[in-house]
Amino acid sequence: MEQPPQGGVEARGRESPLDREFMKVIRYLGGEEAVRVVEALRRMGEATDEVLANEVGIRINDVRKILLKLYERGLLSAIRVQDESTGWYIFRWRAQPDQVDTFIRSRRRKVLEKLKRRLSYEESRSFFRCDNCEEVYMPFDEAMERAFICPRCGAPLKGIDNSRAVERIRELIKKLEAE
Amino acid sequence: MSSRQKKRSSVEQDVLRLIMDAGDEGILQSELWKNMGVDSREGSRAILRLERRGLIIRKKELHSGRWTYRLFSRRKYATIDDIKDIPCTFCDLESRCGESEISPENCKMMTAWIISMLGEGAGR
Repeated sequence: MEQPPQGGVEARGRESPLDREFMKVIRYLGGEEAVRVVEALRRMGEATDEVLANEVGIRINDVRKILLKLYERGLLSAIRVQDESTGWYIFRWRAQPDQVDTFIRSRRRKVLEKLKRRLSYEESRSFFRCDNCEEVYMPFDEAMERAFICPRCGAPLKGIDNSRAVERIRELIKKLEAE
Repeated sequence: MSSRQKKRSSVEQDVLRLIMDAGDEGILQSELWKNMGVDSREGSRAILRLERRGLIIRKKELHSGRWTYRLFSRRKYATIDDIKDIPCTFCDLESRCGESEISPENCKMMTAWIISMLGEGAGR
């Protein structure tokens, strides 16, 4: 049986904090195009990729990429239905703003794990950089293998103090662990 | 779960959602009924159950000459704001990170982020 569109911005009459966070996440994940697709989806309740592409004027392949990316992260749901005229299976998409809190909590946990690993790496070594090449940054053992010469420009590598970055990562970890 | 239990839990979810939406300001119990399709008797019971489970706090407040309660949620919505600039937050390779040749230690995005935080006086 057809389900009525779930309560979005319009249904509740005002934008809730969850709706705001949902649209923020959509923007970070897929940019302005994703925002347009999802806004159209929420206006319509549910829609197929083809209808969405026509509605927002974005190429269908790009719409599909956006839908898939958001679906994989649990922010959209999809129902498979058979097209009455062609007999083909098509997907009807629906926004799931209620899932954004779960998505963010899961990202926060994963980010915490990555930060801890990187912190331990940064704390346990000294690092070297090149005066000319912005992206050159390596630990002592790698710098030694390279005879303290920049692999890009050949200038001598210099030891640097990474304590500000380490401090910032520690603060972030503390904040994420407090939850 | 019986249909009565289901209804009860759905009312609780709706109530909790509205209280969470109100954020730090909280919401007056009387306002809550206006925003919901449940009667106050059913809603009041849901509130007491939520309080017993430690999910909300009730504070007595005088409003238009009547005593009512202002309700606050203990649980806050998670926010993306303070992690949005960390490269792992929206990384497409996150699920493979640490399990393959990509790791938090050798990630170029992470290194670029570290470099951006070194600041002046980092010895360069």
